Amino acid sequence: MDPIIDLANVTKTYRSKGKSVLALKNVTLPVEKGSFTTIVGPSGCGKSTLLKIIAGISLPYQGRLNYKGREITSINSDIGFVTQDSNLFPWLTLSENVELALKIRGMAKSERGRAAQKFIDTMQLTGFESHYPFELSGGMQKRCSIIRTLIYDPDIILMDEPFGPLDAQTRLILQDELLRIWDTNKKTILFVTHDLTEAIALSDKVVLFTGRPGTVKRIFDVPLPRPRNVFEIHNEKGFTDLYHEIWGHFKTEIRV
Amino acid sequence: MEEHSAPKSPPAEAGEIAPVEMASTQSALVNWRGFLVLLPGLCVLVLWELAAWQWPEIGRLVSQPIEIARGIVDVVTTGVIWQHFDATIKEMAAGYVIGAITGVALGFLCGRIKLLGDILNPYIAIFNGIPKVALAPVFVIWFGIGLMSKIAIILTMVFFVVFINTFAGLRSVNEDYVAIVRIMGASGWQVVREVFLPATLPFIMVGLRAGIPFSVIGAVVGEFIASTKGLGFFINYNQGTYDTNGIFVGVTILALLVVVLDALLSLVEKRLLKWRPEVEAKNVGA
Repeated sequence: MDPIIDLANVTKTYRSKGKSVLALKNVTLPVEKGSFTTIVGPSGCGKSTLLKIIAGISLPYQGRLNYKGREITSINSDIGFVTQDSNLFPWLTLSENVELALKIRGMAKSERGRAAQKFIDTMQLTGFESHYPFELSGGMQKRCSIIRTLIYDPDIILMDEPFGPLDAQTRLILQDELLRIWDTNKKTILFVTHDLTEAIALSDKVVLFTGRPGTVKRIFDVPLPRPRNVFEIHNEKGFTDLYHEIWGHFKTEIRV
Repeated sequence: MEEHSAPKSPPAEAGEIAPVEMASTQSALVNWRGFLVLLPGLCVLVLWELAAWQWPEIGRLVSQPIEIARGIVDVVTTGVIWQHFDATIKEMAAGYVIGAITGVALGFLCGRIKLLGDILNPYIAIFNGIPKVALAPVFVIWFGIGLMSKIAIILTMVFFVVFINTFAGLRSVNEDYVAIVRIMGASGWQVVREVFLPATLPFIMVGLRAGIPFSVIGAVVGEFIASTKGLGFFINYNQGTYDTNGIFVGVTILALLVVVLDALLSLVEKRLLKWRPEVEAKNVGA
C-alpha cells in the first residue's frame, strides 16, 4: 500500500535575522496509513518544522511531499495538529473548545454538543464542560486539546511534544489514554518527542533525526507486542536492548 | 436537566488539582474592603466641610461639600443644568461612537495587513504625539462653535486610544491559534470571528474604557474655547462670575458622569471577558 504521507528529499530553509538557516536537509520518510510513528532527535533539529510543513503551515519547501498521492501546497485540513502547549482558546469553555472544529465545519449546535460530550466522557472530563481553560489543570487542558483534534476525525494526527510540559505521572496516564484511543480507531499518528522511552512505548517505528540541519539518521522498528502497558514498558522483553541501540546512535547526535 | 449539570469530583490523578473558588470567605471581605475604600473619601469630605466652617476664605476658594451638593440639587430641580448636560452628552456620544468605531476598524486593518501597519505606524505615532487638545482651536475654526467642532475633538482623542490598543491587541495574537483554526478548515472570516475578535477584545475594552475620560476632556475643552451651552460652558460661565461653587457643581457632575459611564462599561467588560482569571487594568498609549 502507498504511504499516506510520503516525504522525499524535503529540504527547508528559512530566514532569521537576515541569515538563511537550513532547518531540514533531504528528509526522506514514508509514513504508513494507520501507523504510529515517532520522531526523536536533539532539540532544534527541525522536528517541529517538519510537522508544520506536513500541515501546510510552513510553506514553501524544496523536495517532494505527498499526502495521499498529491502535493501539499496549502493548509491541509484533513490533518489534526496537537501543539506542544495546549493552546486552548481561553475565551471558550471546555466544551466550546472541543466543539470548535465542528462549528467551523458548519455542524448544528445540538449535534456537535452530542459529539463533544462523547469525547469529554471518554477523557473523564465530565463535569467540567462549562469551565474555562484557566480553571482546568495542565493535564485536563492537554486532554481537551487532544479531543478537540480527534473530534473532527482527521486522517492523520500530528503531535508536537504534546506531553512535554506535564509531570511524569500525568504523562504516563495520557500516553496510556492515547494508546487506547489509537488502538480503537487506528488513526495515523506522527508524534514528535525528545523522550526515547516515550517514543519506544508508543510507536511502531522510531525515526531518529540528526542535529541541525535535521535529516533522518535511521529508522528503527519497534517489535514490542500490542496492546502495550506504558506503566511497565521497561520490563517488556526487548525494550532495554532497543533503548540502548537507539540511544547509542542518539547520543552521538547530542555530543554528550 | 442534563446529567452533567452538577460538577463531579475531578478525575483521580496524581498532581492534578483544579482551582476552586473561595466564594464564601470573599464576600465578607468585600464588605470590609468596601468600607475601607469609602473611609478616606469620607474623611476628606468631613475635614473639607469643617475647614470651610472654621475659615470662610477656604469656602470661597474651594467651596464646601454641602454647598456643592445643594448646588447640584438646585440646578437639577430648576432644570438649569439640563440643556448643558444634554449638549455635552450628545457631543460625547457622537464623538465617542465614531472615534471608537474608526479606531477599532483601522486598528484591525493595520494589525492584520502587515504592510499597511508598517507604513501607517510612524505617522500614527507622530499624530498621537500631538496633544489633541492643542488642535481644538483649529477644529473650532473649521467646524464652528456648535456640536461639530466638539465631536471632531472628541473623536480624534478617542480614535487614537482605541486604535493603539486594538492594534497592539492584534499584533499580540498567538499565531498558533490562527494555525489551529486554519488546520480545522476555517475561512478568512472564520479566523477573524473565532480568533482575532475574541483575542483582541480585552485590548479593545482597555481602549474603550480609557476613551471615556478622553471624551469628557474633549467636550469640556471644546466648550471652553467656544460654545453656547454644555457642562464646560457652564463651568466657564461660573468662572466668569467668580462663582466657585458653580464651578465645583459642574466639575462634580462631570466626575459623576465619568464614574457612571466607566461603571457601565466595566459591567459590559466583566460579562464579555468572564473567561479571564481577573480583568486587569492595562493602558497602552495616549
